[in-house]
Amino acid sequence: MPGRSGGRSGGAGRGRGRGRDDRGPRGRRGAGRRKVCRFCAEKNIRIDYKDTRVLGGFISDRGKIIPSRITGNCARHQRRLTTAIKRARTVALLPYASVS
Amino acid sequence: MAQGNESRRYESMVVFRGDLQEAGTKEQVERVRKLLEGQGAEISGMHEWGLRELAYEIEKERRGFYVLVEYVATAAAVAELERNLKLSDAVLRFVSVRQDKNTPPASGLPRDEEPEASEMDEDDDEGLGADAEAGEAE
Repeated sequence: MPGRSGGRSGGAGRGRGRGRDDRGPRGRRGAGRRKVCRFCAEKNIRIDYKDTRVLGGFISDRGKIIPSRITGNCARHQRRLTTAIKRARTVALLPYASVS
Repeated sequence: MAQGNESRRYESMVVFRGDLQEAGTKEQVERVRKLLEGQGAEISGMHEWGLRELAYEIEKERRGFYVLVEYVATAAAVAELERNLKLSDAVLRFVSVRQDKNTPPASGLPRDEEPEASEMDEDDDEGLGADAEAGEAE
């Protein structure tokens, strides 16, 4: 009996694990359209710390950098973007934090 | 290698206190120019963005006078400039960045004061706004 119940619980655990895997880390959740890195899509926009207009689109209203998971930026551009935002923060072009 | 005697393209943005009078800022900007030239730097662009509101308060100051200098200099010259900027009470913040050989020269105007380049750009901005909103909804 104890052995059986142990086996069952193990099976259930695996089953749950598989259920999660089915959606998968890359699985499409919700009905959103696929996000494409904006900097890859439009080669002409440069990531520049002086360009608050572009950078401003990638910070939340509290001043935080929006994760690439949400914006859909590719790793390379997200990396450049964060350094640019941080540079902009040093010279007070962008806030470190802001209350809204 | 990294001996500091090789000339490269740099760009420095300096934020001066906003409460300096016009003459005071002029003098500060001149100081930066002379300093760089004294270090053998070749200044290719000097843009005064003027008084801007700071994103956050620095030393009780809400506004700063932004200046952007583009130049070709040695690493040693940049270090000397930064040393002087650090010492100056008139300077709130500064940032120096090495520029890629093929980066176009800065436009001299802060991006948010530049006239909208084209209608195409405007569309792109809207796209971004939509993206951001979608992101926040998640």
